[in-house]
Amino acid sequence: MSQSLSVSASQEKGVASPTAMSDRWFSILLVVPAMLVILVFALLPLAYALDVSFRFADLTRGRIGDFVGLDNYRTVLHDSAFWSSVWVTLKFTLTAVTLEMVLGIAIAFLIHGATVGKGVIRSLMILPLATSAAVTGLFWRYLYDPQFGLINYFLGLIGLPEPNWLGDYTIALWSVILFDVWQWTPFVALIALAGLQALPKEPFEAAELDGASTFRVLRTLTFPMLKPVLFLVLVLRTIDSVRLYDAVAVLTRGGPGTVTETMTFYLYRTGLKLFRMDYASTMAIFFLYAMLVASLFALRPLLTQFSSRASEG
Amino acid sequence: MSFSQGWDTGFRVILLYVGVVFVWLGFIEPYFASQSMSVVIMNIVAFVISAAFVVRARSRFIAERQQAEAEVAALMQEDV
Repeated sequence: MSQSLSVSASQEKGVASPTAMSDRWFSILLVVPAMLVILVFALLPLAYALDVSFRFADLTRGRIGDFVGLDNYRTVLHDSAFWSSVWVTLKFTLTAVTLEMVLGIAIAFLIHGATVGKGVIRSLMILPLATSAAVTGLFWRYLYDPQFGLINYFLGLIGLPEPNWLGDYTIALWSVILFDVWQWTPFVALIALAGLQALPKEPFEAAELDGASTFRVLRTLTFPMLKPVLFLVLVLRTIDSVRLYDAVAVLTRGGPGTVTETMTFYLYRTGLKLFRMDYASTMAIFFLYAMLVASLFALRPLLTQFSSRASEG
Repeated sequence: MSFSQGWDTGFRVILLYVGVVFVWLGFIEPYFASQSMSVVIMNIVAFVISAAFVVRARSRFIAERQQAEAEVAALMQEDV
């Protein structure tokens, strides 16, 4: 439409101005800065990482070395520490995301049903999200401190055992999960609450008139109508949990031993502590590949839902 | 095959090829005595699987197009 407008305008003038730019070139010009940013900050580093993953690159030797073919991939795929970090990441993601979804949805229902103080609670819930995990992680490190931490202080007051939250290998991962759940449950709750508040009232009024039980209303109306929103939150939280780095870096630095070493933290340790950029790049490529495949499967139902809605509309 | 279908299929073919390489290197290559022979066979297998995927995607796109054209023709006949 804009093209036809510009054409008719130039026709009215009779002669096109030599400095006039076509809509097509103008739209390309608008996209170019974003494309340049993506090229410089995403595609070029990706191409470089891909190149390094096929070379010998021990930075303690001072340079990127010779082409070694698929050797780095062979090493990484047979590295037990790498698979252990993958397992830790999966355990963390599954547990943290499940807890966040369950608690977040429950909190959203509670707030939705509240009659007073909704605004204050919503504002308070934004606080953990508004601060970076690096900062809140430091607070939690002090809370978890076995000698001076507030958590152990209160546990001691009521006569309960005072565990070493971040130093005990049996509970260190759970401590990181607890921190993540504290930080990200409000996100799930806020999105679910927004979804709940946007639901139409008529079906619920009809169900009430028909005498449907609360459980039946939840099962047949509320959750099916909330599904797209909840699915989106689930995908976002899963992607974010899989690339967990900051909480681990601040709270445990992968320890004790390697029980809280996630994939991204292992990648960081290999590349920037052991200076094996070849293995780190290979792991990054593998990580990217896994994320691409997972997102392809995860987003398929969402895209199908959107396209069916579009065709209905 | 339209540009977007080709782009999508190309992207999936790359993922499939790389996936075959990862699975091969992780699980199948240890059973080979010669690494270079393993790489050659791996590339042949990955190429065959990717080509099969492209052929299947192409036939699916053609079938979808034919179905859409048939629907449009039926609608136009209804209008007439």
